Amino acid sequence: MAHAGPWLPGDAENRFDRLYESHYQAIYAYALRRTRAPHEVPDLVAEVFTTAWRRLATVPNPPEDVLWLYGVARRVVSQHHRGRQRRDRLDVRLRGTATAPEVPELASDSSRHLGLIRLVESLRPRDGEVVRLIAWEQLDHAQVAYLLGCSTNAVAIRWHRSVKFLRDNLNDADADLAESPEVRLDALRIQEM
Amino acid sequence: MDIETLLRDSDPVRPAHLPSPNSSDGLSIRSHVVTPRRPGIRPAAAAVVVVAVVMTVALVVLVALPGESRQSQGAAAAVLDRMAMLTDRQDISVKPGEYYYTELEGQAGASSGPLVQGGPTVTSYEAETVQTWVAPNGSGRQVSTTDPTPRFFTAADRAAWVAAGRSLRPLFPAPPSTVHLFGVGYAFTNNPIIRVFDVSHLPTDTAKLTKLIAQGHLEVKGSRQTELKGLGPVSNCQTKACVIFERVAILLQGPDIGATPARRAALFKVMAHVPGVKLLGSVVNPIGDRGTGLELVQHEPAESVRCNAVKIQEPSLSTTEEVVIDLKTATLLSSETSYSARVVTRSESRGESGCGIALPAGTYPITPNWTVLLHSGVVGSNSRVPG
Repeated sequence: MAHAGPWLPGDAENRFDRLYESHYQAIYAYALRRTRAPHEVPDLVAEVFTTAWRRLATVPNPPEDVLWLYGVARRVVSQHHRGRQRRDRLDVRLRGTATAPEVPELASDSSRHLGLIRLVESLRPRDGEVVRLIAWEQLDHAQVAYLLGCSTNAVAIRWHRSVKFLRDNLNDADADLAESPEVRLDALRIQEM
Repeated sequence: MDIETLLRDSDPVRPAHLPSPNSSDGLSIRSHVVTPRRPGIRPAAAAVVVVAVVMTVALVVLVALPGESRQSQGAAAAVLDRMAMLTDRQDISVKPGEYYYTELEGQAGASSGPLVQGGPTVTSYEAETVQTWVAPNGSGRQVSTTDPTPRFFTAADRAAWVAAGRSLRPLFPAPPSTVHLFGVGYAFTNNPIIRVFDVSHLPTDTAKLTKLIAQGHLEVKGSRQTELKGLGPVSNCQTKACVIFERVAILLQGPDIGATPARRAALFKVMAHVPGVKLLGSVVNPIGDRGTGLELVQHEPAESVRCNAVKIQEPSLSTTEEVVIDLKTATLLSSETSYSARVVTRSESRGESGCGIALPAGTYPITPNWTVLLHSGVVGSNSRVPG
């Protein structure tokens, strides 16, 4: 990966601005897709770009710069989930009163889409992340492999396994209530074998 | 439509609705980020400090608990021991061809924020009813139905909602119920709010069960057991006592696989031994059912942390875990977790995660979570409900 070469101190802001303007929305969307508290997304985005600003020398050149940012965002979101219990409990009433940034609403087109999102959430964490990165961040297998630190083959296997699971279970979730449940249960049992 | 196209279309984020880097939010974040570097503890380091302090406090609380409120705890333990005896005598066995039905109501889609510029934070939520039928082999059916009518945790929230001119009618057309059929070992794909737990492998020995629950080792090899989380979206428990109380409440509440009278009795016995549980007497749960209340309160003292070189006084927190039980049927009618935060000193907010509470000193309630049992019992098919 080609890292940015040395730059003059005065260039730092220009370089950061290009990075920020190019990828602000991508990182915003990444964080929004992975948190249940949309009002916290601006904080997460700020944390990602704060890291980028502090470590500007290590940010690679385009097109890999966005992957580097995704990598930071992944750690920031992960830390957010793991270590924010106390703040999660406080945010709604306390911090929410102090600042309430405007955040876009999450799309919720249809129950079929919601059902699929729910299924993606039920995947193993790493499989779910592969699905989100490919389907929603629209990364290719090699980019996902770089980001997750695994082989392209491993990504392909996780992707195909997850898609099969989603296809099988989405059909199940869509099942007509009038259809015999026993028949569908049998189908599920067969899949297990 | 193929699954990959459907997946892309299911993106919960609409790119067209994303703020641009030149929006007010975008410019604000940018101006916050690009500032001269300042010494001080970074958020991650601050988090380490917070965790260390919390762990120390948790240890102190654990050591201190046995000496506190012995009388009230004795009464709570007596009630729970009685529940264990009653449960032990009940017949909840499910025969082949039958299902154990559990109908629970919980919160879905809670949202919070000011409704008008500069106004108070208002929290509203939609209720989700989850009906679960579980066969003796662990397969089953789950139907989740969301009611899009706005609901409120407090009367003040409701009043602020109305004052802001918001409608109390459904926020959006009621979506169709989500129906999920799961095979043996596949209950893990169920509703993320109300989960099915396989308790068939749990021991009935109180000491062994307490140890397992405290460790959180409830996974069953090959069954893809779901993680046992808190009563709300995240667990608020920092102490061992709180963790055990909360987990037992979840397991008693169901829906579950493999529950037997002996296992439920064992769970009540585990709860009876949790230090600090208090008997509340006769109480009414969120939907108006009367029962006997038991609670465990966890106190977390105020903490001083440094963030971006600014000394921040975090509020103290009191977390209350409460269950309401029916002494006649030995069932857990509802579980609830609620919190209050006491701001000791107003701290300047720096806008970055975790930095300060820009509120005057005082006590503030935090959004609770509750789950209520609406119906349960053995039924003859996976579409019937108890008469």
